[in-house]
Amino acid sequence: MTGPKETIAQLIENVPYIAHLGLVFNLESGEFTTSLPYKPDLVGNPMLPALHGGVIAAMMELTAMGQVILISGSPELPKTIDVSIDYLRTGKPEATFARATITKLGRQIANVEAIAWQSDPLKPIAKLHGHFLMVT
Amino acid sequence: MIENPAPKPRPEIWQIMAQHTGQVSDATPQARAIGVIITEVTKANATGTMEWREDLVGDTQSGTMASGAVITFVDQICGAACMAALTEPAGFATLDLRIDYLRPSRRGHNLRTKAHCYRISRHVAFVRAMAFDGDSDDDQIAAVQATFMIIKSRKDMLKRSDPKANMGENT
Repeated sequence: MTGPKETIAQLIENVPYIAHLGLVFNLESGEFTTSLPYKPDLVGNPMLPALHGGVIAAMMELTAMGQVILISGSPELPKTIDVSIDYLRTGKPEATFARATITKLGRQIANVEAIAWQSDPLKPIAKLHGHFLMVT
Repeated sequence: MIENPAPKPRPEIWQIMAQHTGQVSDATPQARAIGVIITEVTKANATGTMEWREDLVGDTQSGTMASGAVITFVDQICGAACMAALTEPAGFATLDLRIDYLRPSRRGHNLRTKAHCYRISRHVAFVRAMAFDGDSDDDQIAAVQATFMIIKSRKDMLKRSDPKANMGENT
């Protein structure tokens, strides 16, 4: 079995879109989190300006997938069955962070929740709830 | 006596959008970054495309487009359908979005999304969308349900980040 670092490295290699977003996986602190540094092409509303909701969703979904492969220990990419996103606050043009919790890990399906925040972890900007199919 | 000519009817928002489909998503940097193009707008409806691209792939083995890129794409088209349902100019923000994946999209296949705003009230718009990876209705890859909050003024838009202003709702 591979370690968490190798598992995440494999995820990044398998998903070119992670590099496109610029998503960073943090395993150092004991708790698994991700961070998304701000870049101008992530903006959805240039008037405010605000991050694109899809970018925040994508970040939380990839965090959820990362958490699934870390907990299940399987390097196989989980397949997204469905995700539901609630937008709570406007995403400001600054760094965003996310973490995910597995509510239930079944034999085939993982039920996962994720939240994203910016400068204040107590003020989430969005939350995600999703089901992932684990391919064995 | 000179009579005033009859005033020209003001074009509806969707009509302006339909005339400038190319510019609608060009105003959104992230939509441009992933190649989202609005192709057709009618009242309360929007259709758009996103080309298959190597750097947007979510699984190198299957070549399927990353779910995250698909969400941004469908969110954008749902937003356009919401805008095309407005009778007067207003801002809007996605409240929630749910996407069901029927199957992974195929390598090299461009994506297409059709969105319809089936109900719009003063404050909320409800949108449904379908995403396809081919020209036929049998090529559906995802089903989407989204809700948008209608924001009448910039002041209201800024209020959204003030918890006292809306009694904790949405904050």
